[in-house]
Amino acid sequence: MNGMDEELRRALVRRDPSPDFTARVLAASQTRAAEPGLLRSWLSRLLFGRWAAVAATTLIVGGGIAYQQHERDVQGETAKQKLLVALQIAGMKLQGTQRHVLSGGER
Amino acid sequence: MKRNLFLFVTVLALSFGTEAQEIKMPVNLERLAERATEAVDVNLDASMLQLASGFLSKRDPDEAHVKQIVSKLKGVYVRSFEFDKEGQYSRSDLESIRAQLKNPAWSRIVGVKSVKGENSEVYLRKDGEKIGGLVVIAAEPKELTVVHIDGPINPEELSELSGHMGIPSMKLGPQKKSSHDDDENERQDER
Repeated sequence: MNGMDEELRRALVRRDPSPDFTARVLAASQTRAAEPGLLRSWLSRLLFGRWAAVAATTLIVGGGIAYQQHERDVQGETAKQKLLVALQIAGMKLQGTQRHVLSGGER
Repeated sequence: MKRNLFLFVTVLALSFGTEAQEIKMPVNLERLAERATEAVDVNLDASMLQLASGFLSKRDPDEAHVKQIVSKLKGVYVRSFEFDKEGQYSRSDLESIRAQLKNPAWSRIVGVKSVKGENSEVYLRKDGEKIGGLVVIAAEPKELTVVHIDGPINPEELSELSGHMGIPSMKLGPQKKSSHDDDENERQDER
């Protein structure tokens, strides 16, 4: 019992801190203030990730729409050229027939 | 039983009605492309015509005129073949189309045969009092062309394209023949 009392008395004796104690405590508190909290860090990563996903989706959808429009333009131009060729051929053949008729079938 | 019979007859009548209007390009015509030096194959149904029409310029007078012609059409189909020598096709290649044109809905309005073997036929389909379709068959020794225009078309409208879009202009009515005119016409036909 006396041994334990003696130990307790020694452990609870007031001691002065080391000379750099104050500086160390101040430095540690500033470092903790600079570091964001874990929750804030996780939230900011989540928000950035979501915005990045929205931006990527918008780019993909927009690109797909632009590609479809381009394909439609190509298809339309091709159809237009085919139509003009077809009508040109029809007009020339009708004209040839007309010429035959007017010349009595002889050339 | 009576209802089923009525439905059967209705469907049959409708199918005949549809067949009377459609001209199907025979498969054997497609095979001529293998022997042709140049082949033109155009298949524009109503939706493709609408798409093409959207790309025609209203500012260009020729294209605006074409836009007007096409606005009423249901389809434009062309098979045209040029060969390097004669005898690359036969009359039987056209029999399938001619058989379809024997339908009462179709009338042959022009049939021209020439000693040079340049034969032309023009068929029109009546749709009431209006023209509902046009088929032109132009058979030359080294060239064969079949044109089918489905829908209300006036051949005169196509003739109005004369002098435009690469179609040579043609003056109607009696005119003095000159060697220059004959040469020009031959050059245009060879094209």
